[in-house]
Amino acid sequence: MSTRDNILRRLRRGRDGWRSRGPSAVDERRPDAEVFADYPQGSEKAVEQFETKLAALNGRFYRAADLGEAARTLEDILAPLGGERFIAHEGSLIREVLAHLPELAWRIDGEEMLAATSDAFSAYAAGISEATALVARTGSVALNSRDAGGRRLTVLPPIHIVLARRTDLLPSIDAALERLGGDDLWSNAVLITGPSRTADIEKILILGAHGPKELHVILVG
Amino acid sequence: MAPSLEAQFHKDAAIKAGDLTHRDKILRAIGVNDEKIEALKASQFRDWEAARKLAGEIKDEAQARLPELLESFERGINARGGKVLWAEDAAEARHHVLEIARRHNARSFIKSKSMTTEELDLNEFLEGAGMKVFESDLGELIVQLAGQKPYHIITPAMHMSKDDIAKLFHEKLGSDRDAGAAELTMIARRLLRKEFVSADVGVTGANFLIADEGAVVVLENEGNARLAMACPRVHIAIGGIEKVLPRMSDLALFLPLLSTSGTGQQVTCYNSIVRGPRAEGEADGPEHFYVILLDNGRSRLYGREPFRQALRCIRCGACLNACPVFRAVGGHTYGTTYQGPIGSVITPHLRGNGQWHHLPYASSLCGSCTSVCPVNIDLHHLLLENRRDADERRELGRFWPLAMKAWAWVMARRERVEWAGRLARWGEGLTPLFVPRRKRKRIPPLARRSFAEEWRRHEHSR
Amino acid sequence: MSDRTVSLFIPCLVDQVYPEMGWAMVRVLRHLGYDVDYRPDQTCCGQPAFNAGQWEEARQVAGHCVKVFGDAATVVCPSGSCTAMIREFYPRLFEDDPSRTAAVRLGPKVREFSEFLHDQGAGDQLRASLRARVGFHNSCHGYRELGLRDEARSILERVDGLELVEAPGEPVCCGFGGLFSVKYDSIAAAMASTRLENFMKLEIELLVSNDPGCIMHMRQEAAENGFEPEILHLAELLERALNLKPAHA
Repeated sequence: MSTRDNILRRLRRGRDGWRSRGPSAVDERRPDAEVFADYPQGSEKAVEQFETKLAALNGRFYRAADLGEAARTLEDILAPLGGERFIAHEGSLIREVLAHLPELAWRIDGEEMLAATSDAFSAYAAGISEATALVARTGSVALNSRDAGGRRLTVLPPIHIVLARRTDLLPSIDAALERLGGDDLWSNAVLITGPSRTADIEKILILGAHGPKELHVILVG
Repeated sequence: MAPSLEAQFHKDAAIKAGDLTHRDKILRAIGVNDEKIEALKASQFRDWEAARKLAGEIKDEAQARLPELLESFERGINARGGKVLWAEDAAEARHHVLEIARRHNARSFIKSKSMTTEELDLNEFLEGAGMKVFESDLGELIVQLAGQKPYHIITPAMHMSKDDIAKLFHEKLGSDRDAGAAELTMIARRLLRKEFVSADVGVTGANFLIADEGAVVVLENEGNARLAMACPRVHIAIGGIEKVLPRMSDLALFLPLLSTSGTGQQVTCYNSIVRGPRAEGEADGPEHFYVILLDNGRSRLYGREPFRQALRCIRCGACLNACPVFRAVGGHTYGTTYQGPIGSVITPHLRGNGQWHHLPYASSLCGSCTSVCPVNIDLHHLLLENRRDADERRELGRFWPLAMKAWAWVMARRERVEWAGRLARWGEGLTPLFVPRRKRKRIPPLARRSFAEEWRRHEHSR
Repeated sequence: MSDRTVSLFIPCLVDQVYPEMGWAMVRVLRHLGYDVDYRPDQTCCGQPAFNAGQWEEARQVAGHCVKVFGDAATVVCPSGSCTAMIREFYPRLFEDDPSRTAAVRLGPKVREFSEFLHDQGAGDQLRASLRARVGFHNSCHGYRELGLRDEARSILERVDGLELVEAPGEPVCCGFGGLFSVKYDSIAAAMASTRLENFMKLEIELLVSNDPGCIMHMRQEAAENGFEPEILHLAELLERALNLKPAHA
């Protein structure tokens, strides 16, 4: 018999010896609105809360009224990086925003470089991706490996810039999970909450342990 | 002959308990988070007590359906091109890892933090097999460089000061003797970045296994686990079979619950959900994805009432922080993979060799652990049950069981108490012959007369 | 027996080491107008064997206790730990035992001393005064097994001149734990020392607790590390604050 079968058989036999199984498969879940005291009330409150939470985690939040303003914001974020190169996953929103930045376009690599070696990837100063969802309650960005240009773009470069539409802002984690779960195609998803951090030395907070040192979120619309 | 585990524990505990520098370091480290955690429970949850009760119930449901949920998890992973491997014990899990390495001509490993891999002594094993292994979590890297085991399941280097670490990095990596925390972190970042981009295999743990979707969930703050599952050609996730949650949607509660109790964060910086290797149409990601499901004593614990409740544990470390014994003796003293109250509850069962019964006794049963557990495990009562279990298995030697039998015999009749009391008063002067001074200091002298005798004298004449 | 009759549960530690704590309780109860019933056959609740893992032996002793107090209406006990043993642990100890019903029935009748005073509204009747800055050590068994929160505090606050000062946060264990403090005396001592240091920072003159076990352990540690404030049982403090003369010297 295989190890798999042995383990499963032992579990089933063990379970037979229990006094009682308790409520099996009872759906005890509650929506986040009932569990969390800081569940955002109303959509303007949600934007405010996202901003506050992200700021408290040393992330940067920008609200852009339209694509043009989003483009200018992106330009401002990238401006201090002089001659550095960037990589972006050109989803529909990013493509529309970059269309406003023709003079920057030559410094931003796209699709053709997403599969480059990790070594080559390490040269990029910033990665630009789209969010699957933003979570207002916790200030988190949810994204997946298919719609954000793979796994490395959002973690290897020292700066991560996220673009999202107003409709991507959801109140809490339950809604974000539902949206992620509705897509069958990705292999890896992540809930990102602030820039990379560690407190392993005397509980002192240090940003940029292994992942991005900076996280910028631009909300369009 | 090596001292017994119990004797070793006694010795190490006495040394650490008397070490005030150690105590202050630990109390400071725990104190920093304590207030943050309590404040966050209150501000984030409508009702923390209800939330942890609910979490316990969901874990119970997962337990009641465990074999079926594991099968569902396996189907999900395999359907997306991953491969689930089962391991009876540490040796079989190590064997799987080595086989995978050989199959894919791998020479180098980069690991993110995982207590389950500590059960396997994976680093030593892989190094012995000629592989290069790097721990990438900063705390884990520190203890790896120091040649130690993690001190605490969440904060592996809790026992080391900034200065200790600067000295260690200076010796091992040639950095500045007086580097600060930020500098030390950047040294680790630079050192490991090279390894991330070149390693063949990334190894992570698994905080949760999601049964309905077939997904592995990994929580972290540094980004090292994300890199370990983004850059190398092969990703191996290793998780205990008890880590199952029935539904993806359960994460809405469990992500904040674990982060709040573990580190005082609403959610940790990165919560990754992995369903497979790189999918068709994706830009990157590992070509191969394996999940090793480890039993290593868990199914034995699963079959035992009431102990199986301990399999609810999500390894947040809250019971360690709350435990006054842990605070006094520190993590290494336990000599176990899992320290503190949860370790004392599960180790005797997981190891199953009758040599860990001293741990359940090393507790004042104060119950602090139980009151902070986010999945509502009745930890201190399980310690009591463990003691009974050890007695039933005759693991306790001769002295204490006999002493307790004698005590119970006396206490079963008042006349015997009277006689024993008289005898004890008469013989009290002889205790220095039997009881070492250190222990005598803990016991005050007997009263001249017992309360019962005084009552007879004074109240009968009333 | 009148409905003002209460039966005394005298823990073995009080019986053999601290009878004065038992007397203090007797005097306070009588002062409040209760008839005190003492059952001379009593021995112990059985907790030492229970905590040692020897439940068969614990059942022998506990069974005796159930017999002695079976027909009592109210039992008052100066220890949160013994009260918890009877009320919270007997149901488990006697789970598969024929005498389970009697053991379970005893539980709710046993009241920890501060709990009893509080429930009886005794605070209002107390005309007690004691000028002192006092710290309170809530026993873990009282706090976490019985859920005692403000019972002792509500009594202490009614004592004129008494200033109650408290360490913030959850009560921390003093390290007693019965058998634990004998087996692992070095850990237990370190815990007591940390606990007393925290009280020292509060600059108290008296430390009061509701459990003889904690008190014994802390007194022994105090003697070692020079902790000066006197450590008293709540009953002893009240006896003093009520100026109750001992019935015998």
